[in-house]
Amino acid sequence: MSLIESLFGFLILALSHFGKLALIALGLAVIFGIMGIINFAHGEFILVGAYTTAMGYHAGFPLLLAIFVGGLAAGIFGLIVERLIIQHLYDRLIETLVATWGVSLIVIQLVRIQFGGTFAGIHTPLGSIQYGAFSASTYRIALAGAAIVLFASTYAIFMYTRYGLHSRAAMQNKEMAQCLGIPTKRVYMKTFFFGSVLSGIAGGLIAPTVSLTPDMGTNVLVEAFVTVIVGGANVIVGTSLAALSLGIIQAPASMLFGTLGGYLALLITTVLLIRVLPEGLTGVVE
Amino acid sequence: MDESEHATEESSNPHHWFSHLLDRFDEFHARFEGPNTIGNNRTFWAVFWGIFAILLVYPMIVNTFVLKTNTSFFIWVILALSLSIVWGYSGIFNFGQMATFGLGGYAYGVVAINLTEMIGGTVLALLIGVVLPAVVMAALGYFMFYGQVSGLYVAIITLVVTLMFNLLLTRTSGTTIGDAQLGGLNGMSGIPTLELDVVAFSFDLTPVSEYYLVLALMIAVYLGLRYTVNSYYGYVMIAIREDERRTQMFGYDIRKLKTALFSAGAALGGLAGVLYVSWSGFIDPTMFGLVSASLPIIWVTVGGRGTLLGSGIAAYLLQYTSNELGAMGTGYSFIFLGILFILVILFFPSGIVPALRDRWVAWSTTRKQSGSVQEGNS
Amino acid sequence: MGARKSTDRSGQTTPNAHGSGKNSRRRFLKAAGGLGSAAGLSALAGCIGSLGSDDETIRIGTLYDNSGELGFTGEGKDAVTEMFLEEQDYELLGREVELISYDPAGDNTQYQNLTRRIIQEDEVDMLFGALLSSNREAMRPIVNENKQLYSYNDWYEGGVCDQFTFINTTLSSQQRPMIEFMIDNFGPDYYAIVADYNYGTISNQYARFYAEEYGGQPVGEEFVPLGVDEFGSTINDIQQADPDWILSLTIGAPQASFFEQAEAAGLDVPYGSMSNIAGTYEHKTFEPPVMTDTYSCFSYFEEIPTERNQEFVEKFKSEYPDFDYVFLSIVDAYTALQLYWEAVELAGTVDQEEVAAAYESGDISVEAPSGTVAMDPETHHATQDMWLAHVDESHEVQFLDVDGNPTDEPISEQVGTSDWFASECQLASESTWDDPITEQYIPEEGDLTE
Repeated sequence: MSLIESLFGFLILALSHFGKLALIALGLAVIFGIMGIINFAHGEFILVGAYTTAMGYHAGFPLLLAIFVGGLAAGIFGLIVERLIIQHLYDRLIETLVATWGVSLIVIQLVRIQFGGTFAGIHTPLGSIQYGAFSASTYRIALAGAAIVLFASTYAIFMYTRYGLHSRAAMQNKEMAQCLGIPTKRVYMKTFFFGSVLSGIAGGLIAPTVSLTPDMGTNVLVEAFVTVIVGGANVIVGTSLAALSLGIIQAPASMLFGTLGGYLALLITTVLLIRVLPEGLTGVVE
Repeated sequence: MDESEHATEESSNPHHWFSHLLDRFDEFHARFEGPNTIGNNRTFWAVFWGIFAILLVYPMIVNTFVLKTNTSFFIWVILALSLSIVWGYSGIFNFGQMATFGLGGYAYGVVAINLTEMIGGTVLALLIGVVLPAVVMAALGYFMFYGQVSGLYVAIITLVVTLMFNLLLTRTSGTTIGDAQLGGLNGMSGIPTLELDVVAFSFDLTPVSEYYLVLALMIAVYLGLRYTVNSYYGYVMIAIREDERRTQMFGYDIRKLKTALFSAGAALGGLAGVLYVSWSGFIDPTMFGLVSASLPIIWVTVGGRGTLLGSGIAAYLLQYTSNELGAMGTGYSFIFLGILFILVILFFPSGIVPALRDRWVAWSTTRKQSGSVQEGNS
Repeated sequence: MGARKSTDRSGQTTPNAHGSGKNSRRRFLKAAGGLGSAAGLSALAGCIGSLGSDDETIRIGTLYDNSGELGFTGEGKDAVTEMFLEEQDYELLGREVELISYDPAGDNTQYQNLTRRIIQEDEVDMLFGALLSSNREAMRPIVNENKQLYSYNDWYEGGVCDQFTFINTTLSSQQRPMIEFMIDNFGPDYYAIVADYNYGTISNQYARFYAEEYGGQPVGEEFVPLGVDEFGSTINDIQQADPDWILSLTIGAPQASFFEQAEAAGLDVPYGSMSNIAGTYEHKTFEPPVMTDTYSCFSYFEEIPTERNQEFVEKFKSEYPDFDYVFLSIVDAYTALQLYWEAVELAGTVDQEEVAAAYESGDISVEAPSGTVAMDPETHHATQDMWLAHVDESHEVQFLDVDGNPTDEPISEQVGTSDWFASECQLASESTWDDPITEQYIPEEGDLTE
């Protein structure tokens, strides 16, 4: 492998790791950052998005539209969960953890009963790009671009909409926001919806690259958590930086030491980063 | 409120033998009582020892299978109690309590298989099964607490470390330590049962004696922890949980205390792990998986975080429930469990046992108020 | 459960649908019995054992996951068990047969508790169970301690040598024809993608050993942890090693993502698979042409063109329409029951020691959906036909002979265990009911060569 090829290979790998981590973490980061609760059913929102996308796609929708429908389906599902459960547990981190764990158990088993062990997947679009003797999936690289677009949109929504203003206020000081007449409960509800939509879109986007199974959510949960925690409190900057740095570390480690090495590197880096930067990467930026 | 209760009882005829006995009864329990635990009155202890008495005769009325299953539930109770101390009382959000259990189990297994010929080999294995997790977690605790890691970050680090154990142990399919094959995902089997050698007599654990041993340990751990949390150390633990900075201002070395607590909890978790592996003769790396790691967290949350009793009861009931759901063989067991978690959290956000306690207190206060007139008459 | 529900959904009122309803009621009663008598602190607990212990009834127990990661696989096995019992009218030796099935949900502690329950309380005459090897290893100490006749019937790496355990499924060593075929047709250099746990690494040892015999060798090996679904670096590594073919030992749906990602990256190398198609039907779940030119060697595929098999597939799918593909685990569960039936009929009793002796008689041989399956007395493993399947670009399966020509015949007939295992494990001659051998042998480097 020539140096140029290695470098290229590394860049592509790092980009695809970044794309995936950023996508699966964003929805969780929004909900965790603003509402301060842990959504243990996060993976199942991704699952709902992915399955709906696949269904739409097989029903003849173009992929992009199917992904949009997937996001919407996850959003509606999120709204139901919020109204039924989460709204009674605002500001109760541990309790939401256990309750959403319950949601996750239910969803996984229902999906299994309804659709069986695996679900017909989507063929990865866009073909491959060649570099020397090597080639990589174009779609995997496009995912990194999609992640950047989603982060930018989320940033715009937080900065330039009324909801964004309210949610930032609620995040910084809930009591003060309430005093100023901001309906924090409505803000929380919208946030949960918004986070769910983002997770659903992420599910739709990664659907063409993985097998669709009832456990697909559980499989990404740890990576999503790790990314959010390493990122720290700042939803946009922290999470994207975390995804980037973890991706950059995972890529060479998996090239050198195999998949297990890459995964271990991700976990060890997480532990070390938390130890060195107890505030997450946000702490460094601020 | 509880003290006044005692006071009333002492002021009634102290020379009567029965009342004297009751006083001794209260005196004995006083050391386990305090504001940090639930159940600080005579009624509680009467019920407690009543249940204990039933548990003592239990092996005579059930078959081996039921007894064996119950023994495993008691082991889970010990694990729940260990997390209750670390997390519920001291506020260290430890997602890795199951890892201490697994480490204890693996350590016991490896040593016991290698020393199977040696007299007292399994006892040595037990000691190592307790010490190893304590040492490992002391190191991890040192790493975290001396680096100011706290709160949710502790949860993530402990979870990640647990998952790393899972990854590494899964790949040990060809690894042997002495005579012990770690066995990878297929697990390590053929682990000998604990053999107790007490000076002159030694006996293999039968299901019945194993039951009594675990029962005794469970009661001892519960009472021991009750004693601890109501002692000076208990107040320090709660001070750490409630406000670390202020506790530090009072001159306590938070980092040292947390590391010690974390490690002590691990020793207890390791003990549970040893008992479990001795019970099952088998252990595999799924002990370190995400699902297993969440179990103790769920027990303690459902039972009530700030109570030993609640954690223990929840562990017993939830393990019992999922066992029975499995026996229904429907495939719906996870759905039932999920609904159960949600309902419990929605209706008893602080946990089942504290909620029941509050109701009991409310009920008994009203009864006492209306009943105090009658008492005066007698 | 899903299967039963769908029978209702299809609106059929055939005797079969009726029959499965009957059985679910039976199961429910059993469950209610279990709950009522409760292993908890109720003094009633002791009475379950005697509940309906009619000596005339033959009790058969199954412990297959109905929930958890492999819930769907276990449901398939339970469904086919019902189908088999209905075919037998719930009768054996003229006595009624009762089915007791629990759901261990993939949890090994549950496996242990339920194994105890099904042996000690339900007192089953025969126990079928476990999906993963780890489930089986959790069960086996209890099975052995209670001298319980037991069938394991899900594909695994091989090596269990146990007086009380009888195994019918595809073993890694039986997939040898695939290795030979790949080396002959594509070349000696292969790259192995191996699920990083017992099944994967041990099967990989077999593969390497056979490959060496046929003049092949690995040019790269990647061990992938279970649950990993990210193969960017692996694909890179493969392109660098430039193998003639890829040996796939991926396990579980996340790892199967490899195929989709390899396709998307433009990797065009044939797969010789020891773990795909038959059991996990990737050619049905992925859109063509992802699995094109996968060669897989197992004792059973849904597509096996015999009349016996096509009838079986049609019947199973009409009764359990939730199953789009009849996978290996389903058929192995069915065959295990056939073997038991034959052994009991030969023994003329369900006495476990005598049935074990019948299994060891050398006369147990059944016409299973996969072909003739016989029980080898010494190893307690099934001897069976192996089929080499080829997946084409539209994801259709053809069977091939040694020369790569399409055929309706298996590539290798009546294949037993590896020579190494056959020489290690001699249960009929060295083990007895009262002085049993209960081992699992794992080949070490060099063991296979001798």
